[in-house]
Amino acid sequence: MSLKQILRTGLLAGSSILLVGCASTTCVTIPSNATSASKTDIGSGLFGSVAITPSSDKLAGDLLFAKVSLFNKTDKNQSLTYQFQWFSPDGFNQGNPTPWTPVELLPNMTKVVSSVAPTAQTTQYNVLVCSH
Amino acid sequence: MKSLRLIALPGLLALAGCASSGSGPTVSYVDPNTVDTTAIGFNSTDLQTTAKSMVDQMLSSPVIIKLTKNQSPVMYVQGLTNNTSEFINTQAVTDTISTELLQSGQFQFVDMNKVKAIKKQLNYQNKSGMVDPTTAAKIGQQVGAQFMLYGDVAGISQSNSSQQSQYFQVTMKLLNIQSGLIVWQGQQQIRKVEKRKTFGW
Repeated sequence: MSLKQILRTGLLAGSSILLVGCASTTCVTIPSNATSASKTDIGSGLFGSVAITPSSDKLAGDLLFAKVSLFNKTDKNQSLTYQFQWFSPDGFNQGNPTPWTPVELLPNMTKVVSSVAPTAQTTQYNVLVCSH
Repeated sequence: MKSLRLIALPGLLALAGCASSGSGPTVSYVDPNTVDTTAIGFNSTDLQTTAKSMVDQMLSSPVIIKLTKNQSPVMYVQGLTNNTSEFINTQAVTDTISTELLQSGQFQFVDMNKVKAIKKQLNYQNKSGMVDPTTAAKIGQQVGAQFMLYGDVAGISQSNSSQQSQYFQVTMKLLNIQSGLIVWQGQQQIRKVEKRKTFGW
């Protein structure tokens, strides 16, 4: 192997490691009252690989029951994490947000994730979904 | 020499990666709710997701909805038994669960760990002669618990030359102390896999 070839290989390897090195995370925040237009936007918007749909809420006792459908639109596995944030009618935070919860979506799979609001004063929520 | 520099430069950049800090360890505050993948053991993410899942399962159960519709039942937390081979801070799990349940307003709690301290304080208020009897908390007025929350953590650990697998199963039960009936039971399963690195780097 000539010196030129060694040089070329070294440069290529170094550059490849640099390009691969920094993994990025993409997140979206969807409010519970997102309109159907904005819901479909998510699929083609920030990360077109997952459709996120906050579905109709029901009350568990007098607590808000949040359900969100996650649909993997691709033929590859998707590693996501999600979190619910809770709000009173005037927009103040209620309790703690739920822990970031990992969820694995197989190709073309739909999963419904849910959570119960921490207080009876909670009337709305945001769901945050991150793709890793 | 020039050629050596050319080879070394990308390598150094690659090793430097995305870090921008100087030498030595750095400490920073992070969101306690972020996913912790530091090690395969029962970590803060498992603790938080287990506690939240148990609370969600309990509060959305039709039996519990019926039970808490017109009253806030009194319960005490007996705790979680750790049946795994590794250390799990079960007190932290039950504390998180009871905090969430109490904040929801659906349940009330009595703390059986503080009975001795309460008794001492009641004796002081009622028998020491130091406290104005009109303001002293009366003996024999405490509310008895109707329900007991308890459970266990089971685990299976397996490994081969290329990976290690860890499985946890947390089971919680709510028991009616008077009737002895289990009125609710919930389960949370966690499975994690750690792939061993081929090159130790």
